[in-house]
Amino acid sequence: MRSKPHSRWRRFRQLKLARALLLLLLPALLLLSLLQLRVTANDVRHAANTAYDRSLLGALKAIDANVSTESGGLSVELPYRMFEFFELTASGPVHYRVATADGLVELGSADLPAPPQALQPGVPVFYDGVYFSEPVRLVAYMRDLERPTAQSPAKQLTIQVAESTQARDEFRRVFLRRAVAENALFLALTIGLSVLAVVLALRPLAGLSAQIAGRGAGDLSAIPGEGLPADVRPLVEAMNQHMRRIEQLASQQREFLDDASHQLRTHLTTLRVQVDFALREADPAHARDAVAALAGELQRATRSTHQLLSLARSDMAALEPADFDLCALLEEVAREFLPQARAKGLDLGLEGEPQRATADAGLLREAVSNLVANAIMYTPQGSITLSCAGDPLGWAVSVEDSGTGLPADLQRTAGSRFVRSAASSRSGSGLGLAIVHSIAQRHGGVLRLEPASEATGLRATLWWPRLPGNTETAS
Amino acid sequence: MKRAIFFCSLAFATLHATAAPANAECIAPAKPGGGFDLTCKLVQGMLRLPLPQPAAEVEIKYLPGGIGAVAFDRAVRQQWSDPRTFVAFSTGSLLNLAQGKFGPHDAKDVRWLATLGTEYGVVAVRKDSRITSLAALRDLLRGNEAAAVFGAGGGVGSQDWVKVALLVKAASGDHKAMRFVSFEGGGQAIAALKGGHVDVFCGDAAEARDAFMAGELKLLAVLAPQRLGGQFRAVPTAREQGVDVVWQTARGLYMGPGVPEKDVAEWARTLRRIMATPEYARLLDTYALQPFAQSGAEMDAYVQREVQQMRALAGALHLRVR
Repeated sequence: MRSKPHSRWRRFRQLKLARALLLLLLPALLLLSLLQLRVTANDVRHAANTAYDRSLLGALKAIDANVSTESGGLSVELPYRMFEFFELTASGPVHYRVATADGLVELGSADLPAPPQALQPGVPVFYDGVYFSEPVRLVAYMRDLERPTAQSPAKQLTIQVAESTQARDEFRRVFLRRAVAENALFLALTIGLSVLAVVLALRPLAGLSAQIAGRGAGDLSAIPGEGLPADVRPLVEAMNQHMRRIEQLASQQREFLDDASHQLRTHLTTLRVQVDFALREADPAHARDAVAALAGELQRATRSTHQLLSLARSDMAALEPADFDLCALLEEVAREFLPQARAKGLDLGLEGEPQRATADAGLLREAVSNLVANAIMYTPQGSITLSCAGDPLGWAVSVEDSGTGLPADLQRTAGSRFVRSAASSRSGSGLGLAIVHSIAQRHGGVLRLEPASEATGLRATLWWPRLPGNTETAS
Repeated sequence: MKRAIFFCSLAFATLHATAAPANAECIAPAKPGGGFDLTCKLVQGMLRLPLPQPAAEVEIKYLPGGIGAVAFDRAVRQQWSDPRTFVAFSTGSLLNLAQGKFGPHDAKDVRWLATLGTEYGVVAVRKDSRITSLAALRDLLRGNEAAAVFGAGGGVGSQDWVKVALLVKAASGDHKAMRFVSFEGGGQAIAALKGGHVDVFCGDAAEARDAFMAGELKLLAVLAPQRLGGQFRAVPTAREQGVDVVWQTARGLYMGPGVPEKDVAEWARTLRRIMATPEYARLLDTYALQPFAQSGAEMDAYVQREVQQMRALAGALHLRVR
């Protein structure tokens, strides 16, 4: 199901990403495009007005040059070609008004819209207006008269020229239409290229996704990072690392499961043999001995199960580091084991000052308990001493006994699971040191086994560092 | 300017306060003193004629702007419907209408009432001018269109400009190359002619009459189909001199588009009755107008025909045509 529409699934995924990108990109680009159009429209309006106003002023100057008051009245010579030219430029009718400043004498279109402000001599004023319900652009200009007309005392002459806005509107429309078309084209191109870029850029990622999705459930091998973009490689590396951890954990669990089932089967086999024996025994006294032996085996099986559980916990449980008094913890453990030590005639002692330490107190207590239990088990007579220490680098807990010491053949393998000293009684499960070892590892520390300071005996030291990273450095 | 109109109407109102109450008004779409004012005064005079009793007292109002354009535009847009309001017009108005100078309107947009009379164009020169006849003017222009400077009361596309253009064309010259100087009115153009600032004056007979009577200028021709009577009896027509140019300036009235048909017909009947009397002929003569009475259906036909002709003429002279 997953492998058949492989390429189609991949394409769909790519499109989804592209679509998400477009959803962000499209409105932004559209907005930008509209903004640009608005700016263009303003620019064009300004440019068109500037250009057309210049020709309008030219028309005004041409009329002005033809104005005369020589005859005593106001007159304008009106060459046809001049107006033909004006109207050609404006693509529409051109109106003019030549008048004395007081309006008493006027030629041309008397009712042209008045300029919005008072005119200054020699300064042309451009403005928009409506003439015969048609929009027009006007220029007004005032200048001094060399000689006033007979009909008016005014010493100034006003000239107004109006032209239809048709030509400039048409110019603007054409320009804007082209700008709209261009913008639309660029928008389409930008979007097309963006989609293409997205699809191309995401192709290696899609390949990677497909590769991971296509893996078997149990396949935890590293993903090849070659050929992937540099940006993606750290992600692949992190994934590989994570998978390595999962692989480690899984193999640990498999190992544990193997060991645990083996261990429990051994106990169960022994128990079955003993039960069979007890059932066959006719003599009640012998049967009772057999049942006692059965009880001993059951106790060992219980202890094994208990230890297996603590091993599983030390392997798997989340580390909960806390600040506590190490010495107090040792004292508690010692008090717990005191009856057992007394029963064997051992001297159980404690050395060291109160010491604050950071670790998972529960796990650490488990570790110390195992060490003490081991010491009691392998020490026929003498003493067991618990001690703690701390320095800027880390903390240490030691259990030293005056027992038989660690045989040379076990020096290397001690701490592995289910390895028991050959000289030991049968009561050991072989898990004690493994548990301690695991707990030391979980804290980023080590378990050191070395000969005791006295002639015989063993000194087991659990050391873990003070580093903040001591938690979860290994699992 | 508004204040001036107000003042004028006030003056008329007080002037006739003692006479019969004003029950009609005539809008002269220009400043006082022009041809439109003259038309309104004419209708005022004729409706006062006791035939058998005065028909109405007419009040004159002025609505200047665009040589009649503002009044026409307003009459159409506001759908004037007052059956006692006339607006003066002339052939010049029809010429402007044909050129689209009255806005996006048509001749059918108002109710044409009647023409009351007509003027004809004249061509005048200084009395000591080197141009002694229309033929001499024609010959002068034939070689060089810019050889004579024309003066008149209107701008490019006005009646006076068209008269000059027709003269230049009749001399097989290019009217685009002629020299045309525009003045505020015929009076100032004649003053410029007397002062030697222009060579030829083109206008209406009425404008030139005073200076002609005073012997200050010489009339080369009247642009009429036949010689005019009265003081102009001695002036030859253009046709007599081999230049086929006739320019009639008819003067008349129109009413708002909203005025009921029967009111227009009633006024037309009244006016026609008055125009048939000898008293009216005498009145026309005081205004130097020739008889030209049109009303009713023939009036509408006349306006349509005239606008059509003006349109063709404007087109031929490369003016803007609507």
